[in-house]
Amino acid sequence: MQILTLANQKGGCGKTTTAIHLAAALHAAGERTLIIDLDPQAHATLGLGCFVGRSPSLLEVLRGEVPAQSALRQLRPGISLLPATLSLGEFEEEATVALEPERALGHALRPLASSFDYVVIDCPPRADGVLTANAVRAANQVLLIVETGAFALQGAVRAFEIFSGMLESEGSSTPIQVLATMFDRRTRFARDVLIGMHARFGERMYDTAIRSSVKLREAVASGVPLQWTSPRARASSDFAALASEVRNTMSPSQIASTFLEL
Amino acid sequence: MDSLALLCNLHGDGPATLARLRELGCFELAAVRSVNRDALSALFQGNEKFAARFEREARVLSERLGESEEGPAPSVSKGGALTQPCTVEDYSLAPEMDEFAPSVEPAATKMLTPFPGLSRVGAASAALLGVVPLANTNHQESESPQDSAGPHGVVINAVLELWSRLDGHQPPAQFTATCKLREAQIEGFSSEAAEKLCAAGLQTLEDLVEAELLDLVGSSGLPYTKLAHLQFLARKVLGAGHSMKTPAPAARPESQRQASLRQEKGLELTPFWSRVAKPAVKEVVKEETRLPDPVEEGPAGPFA
Repeated sequence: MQILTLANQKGGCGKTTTAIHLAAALHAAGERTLIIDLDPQAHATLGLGCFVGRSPSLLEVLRGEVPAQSALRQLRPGISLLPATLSLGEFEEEATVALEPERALGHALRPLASSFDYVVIDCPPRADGVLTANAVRAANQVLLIVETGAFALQGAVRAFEIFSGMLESEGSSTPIQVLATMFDRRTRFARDVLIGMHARFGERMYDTAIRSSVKLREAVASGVPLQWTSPRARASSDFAALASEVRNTMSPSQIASTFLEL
Repeated sequence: MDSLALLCNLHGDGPATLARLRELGCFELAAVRSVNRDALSALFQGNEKFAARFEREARVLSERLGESEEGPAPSVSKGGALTQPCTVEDYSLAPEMDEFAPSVEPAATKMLTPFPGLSRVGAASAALLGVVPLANTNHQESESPQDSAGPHGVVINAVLELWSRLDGHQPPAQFTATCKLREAQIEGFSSEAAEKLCAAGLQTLEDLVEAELLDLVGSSGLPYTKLAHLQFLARKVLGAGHSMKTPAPAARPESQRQASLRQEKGLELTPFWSRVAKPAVKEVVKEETRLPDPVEEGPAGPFA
């Protein structure tokens, strides 16, 4: 099982949209995929049209009250969601009196190692906090989502430093990759930002830049991934290319070093 | 992301173009030149114009990234912008799968023309990040005398250029960062106010933006609200000069409207404590005027 954490301290850069559609693209490529909504805003849960109600959610899993299997929601055969609720933010407060709260997610995912090939974690828009620490610690790869817009480069460099420092402090060798999103090549500004990102991050960037798309926004709003409704859309092809790259860089046959550490 | 993928993202159909180029055996940016023109045209659904442009952009990008082994490409200007602009028609020729509508962003169609201002902003960002030394950036960009107008000058020049391109006429020359306040003919900026501000020691719009309003009230004699409005106008000109093109009539603040209503009704605008204190004073005066009745004193006085 390979765990991919999508993170950035900046909000509105496309983390949730990327998480949903990357997971759907991996599923379309035949991989067993799990999406974990680690954002207390529960936008990935909403974006997948899932209503939690009184069913167990990620909060109960992180608390250790229920196993992760009982909180899973199967969206389609081969793709599942570990949903969040608005009360997930309580875990941040409870973590102050818990023992090693930043390892809770890793422990919870351990029994699922043989059930899924890829786990895509949608992080809250912050670099600090125990939820993001859980995701970064459990990850085999941190994917920094960077919007090709104003302040993107500065914010990306800062976020990269924060996550690098976080991983270094834990002695982890987890790689950090960068993904450009919301790219509109018709504007010179977006092209300049992409060139700047390439100059700054180089090989750490994925070849695929996710282009801005109205269909993507509509898909998230409608609660169904775009690949399921318009598999030949441009955005679907972008995410298919990204999924192909992810599969090349992260082979699911590799044993996650995280679980060995745990 | 290698430079070939960057080129495909910038000027092709992203991963689809990249995959097709790799199928042709092209794995580097420099190898794009060696690809047969017919094969390149077939890559873009037989569109020779787009293929030629893609090849030209490959040369430009390789030079910009420092990967060019040959001399500078002839179509590249000093700032890295194309002398032959990429029009939106060129981009509309790109074989996108869907969602490519040039009319979606009409403002962007104008911005596809060479626009050194924005490339300067991009260069400044690159310099900020350490990608390009700031000294080199400034050296390359110091082409016009207006660049000496301070840090706001680059942005202002870019806005002015955009203005002229969008509207087809030149903006007033006095809207620069270093213009004197006396010459700044901004809507709502009267000559009398400008005179007072100049007398208070302000010389430029930047001075006005950076001035402390409370200090300026004392030195210029202008009211605080007026100064705040003038500072807002100056900041608007320095930050986004285009918004000064059609200044909307400023709505009167609610407080001013209420004040004018009170004046029309003849109500005196006095602080509440003065209204409360006045009757109290009158009462005191009444009590003072009401003298105590005279007490007939006996032989031991009034306390007997």
